[in-house]
Amino acid sequence: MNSRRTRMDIVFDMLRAIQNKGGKIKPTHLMYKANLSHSLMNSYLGELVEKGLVIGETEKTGKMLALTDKGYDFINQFKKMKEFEKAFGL
Amino acid sequence: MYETIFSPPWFYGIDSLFEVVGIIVTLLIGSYCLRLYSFSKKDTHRNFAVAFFIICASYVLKVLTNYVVYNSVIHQLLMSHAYGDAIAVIKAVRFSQVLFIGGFLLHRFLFLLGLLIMFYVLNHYRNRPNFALHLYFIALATIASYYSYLAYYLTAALFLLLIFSVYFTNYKEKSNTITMLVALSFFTLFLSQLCYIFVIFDLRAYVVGEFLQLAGFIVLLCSYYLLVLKK
Repeated sequence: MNSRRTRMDIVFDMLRAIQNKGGKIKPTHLMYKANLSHSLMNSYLGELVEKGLVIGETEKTGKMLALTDKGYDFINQFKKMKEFEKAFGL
Repeated sequence: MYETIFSPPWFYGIDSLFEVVGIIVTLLIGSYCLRLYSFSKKDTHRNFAVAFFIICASYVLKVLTNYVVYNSVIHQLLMSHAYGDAIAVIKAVRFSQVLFIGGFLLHRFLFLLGLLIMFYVLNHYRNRPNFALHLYFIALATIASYYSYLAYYLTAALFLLLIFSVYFTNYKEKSNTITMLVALSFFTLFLSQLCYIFVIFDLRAYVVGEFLQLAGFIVLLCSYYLLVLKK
């Protein structure tokens, strides 16, 4: 059984889900891909938008969430941090 | 009071340069761990950072202490006799003596403390009474090292061997270049401490130990580069 995800793990899962969809994703798809409840997703999403990692866009198909450059950078930094954790046994 | 210097005269100052490398590497890794902590808020990241900063501080003290001692020795060399490779230094200046002893012992205590914290973090120990007991033992080892340097180097070697065993297990589980480099770096640092033990037989053992220590920190720097700096 996997251990409970930390806050940072959830943020990373959300950003990676958007990245895997080519940088844009519908909110409902994000909820399923990141394995979150609607309320939890909204609470994290507010924070991500506030920190400039994600922006909301309105398209013909509906509301979309897009990854910013800062969001891409955060994903890279987070991956490095995870690798550092594993390498040093933390 | 007499003090003996383990370094051959031709190596004075060079060992301090080697230790500057250790200072830089421990500072880099400690800083990155602190950054990790700012994101994750995990105590293990903070404590690991603290361990590296303490080891960094111990090397800074060693460099400063060596500077005071070597300068004094060079002055004495000009003014008095030298006896082969082992030079007996008679300290006339009390202040430098206090500085040497204080710096010397504090360096050793801090180094052992850093290793103890690292050992606790890697083994996920949280027992505070046990930590206090281990802290007492390393303080004893530090005091004992004033009378016999073996107490310090054996304790440091033991800690580094235990830390290496954790990283070796980590390498066996993950089997990649970086985990191999981390394990190798701590193994090399362990070997350096073993070399220092044989200084009493030949001063060149100190030189070998310093080179091994430098190599250990360079390998650690390589792993840091691959993890953090390489794109």
